Amino acid sequence: MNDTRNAHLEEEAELYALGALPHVERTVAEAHIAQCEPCARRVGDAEEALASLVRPQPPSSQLDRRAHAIFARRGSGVRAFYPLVAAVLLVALLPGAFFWQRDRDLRASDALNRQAAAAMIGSHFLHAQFVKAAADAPPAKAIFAHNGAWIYVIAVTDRDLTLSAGGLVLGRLSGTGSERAIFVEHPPASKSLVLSDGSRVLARAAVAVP
Amino acid sequence: MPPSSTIEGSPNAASAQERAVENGFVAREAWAFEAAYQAFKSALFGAAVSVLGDREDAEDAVHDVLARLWQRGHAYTAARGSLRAFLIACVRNEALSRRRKSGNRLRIEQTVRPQTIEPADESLADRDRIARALQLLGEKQREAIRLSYEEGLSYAEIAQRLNEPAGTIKSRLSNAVRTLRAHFAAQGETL
Repeated sequence: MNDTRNAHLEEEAELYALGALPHVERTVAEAHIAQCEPCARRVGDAEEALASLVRPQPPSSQLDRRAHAIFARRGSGVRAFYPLVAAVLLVALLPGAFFWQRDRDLRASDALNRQAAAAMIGSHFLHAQFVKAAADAPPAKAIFAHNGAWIYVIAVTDRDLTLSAGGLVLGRLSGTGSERAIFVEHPPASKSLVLSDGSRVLARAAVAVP
Repeated sequence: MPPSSTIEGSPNAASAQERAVENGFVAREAWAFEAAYQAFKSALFGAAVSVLGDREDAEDAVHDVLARLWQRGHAYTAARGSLRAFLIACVRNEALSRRRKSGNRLRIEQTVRPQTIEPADESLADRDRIARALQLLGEKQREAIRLSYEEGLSYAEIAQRLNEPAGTIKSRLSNAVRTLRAHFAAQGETL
């Protein structure tokens, strides 16, 4: 999936249902699902399969009372997810809409993720995997605009990493938990990205803009 | 409005009732939320307790999901498939989020309370049904599904844990879920 408006989800559909997509990819998939019926069906099929792995257990009567009390109150009326909601609207509503992601351990970098998600939803983008230059290099991926307007790099690590391009330091990856990321607008012309830990080059990626 | 009682007892009563609840849920009608809860509460609670291993925490997770869906809106549409599966996915995500926050990575077998260790006959049947399905997966697929479904790891985290390419893990997880889907669909399971 490299264009949220036209390309369908592939393996991301099953990974979305599993909850196995990293935060930003999940957000982009969510926006696509909201406007694409075939992909919503594919996600639904995957969710159905995973629901079949659940062993039902009766809850206590106390939960019955608490649930009843919820529905006795009128909802606040935010109907954000009706069919065919525009992706741009979803981005505007991200803080409240993606509630089940809200409290994840990436919350500290939510602003960064929203910025990246907004950029992705609004443009064509491509992917590039980082290739390890050191044995302890973490898995990392670059997502970049088709027109070269921005680069987003995400790494699965809890270490402090720096992103460079053509010898120019673009910044340090930030985040909490097991993911670190950086979003760079108007990156330099050099498309040879380097991830380092301050003293050693850990991984490289070639960002090829058509 | 709630579905008419005249559909009860008809050959398609269950599916007609289910469609009515799904439509009411989309329209955010209180009766549909109540009906969905009553119909699926055991599955929702089972999904939560399997992740959290604690009944009180699991009930809190189910409660919070229902409250958010009711108060803030939701992503469910008819195209998504069954409402039950959608709600279970929401509850699983909430439970996984809570477990990540608490740092509780203990397996369910280590944390369930005594009264849930000895399952009822129905639970044993469920266990057999699930075990048969998982046996259809290759060993590597089962491990990847376990790391995702039980431990809540992302595909990138699984790739790191297993020291394999991320693309390989994505394909493995996707194929595993599709295999399970084909199996359960062929079984004609209505849960």
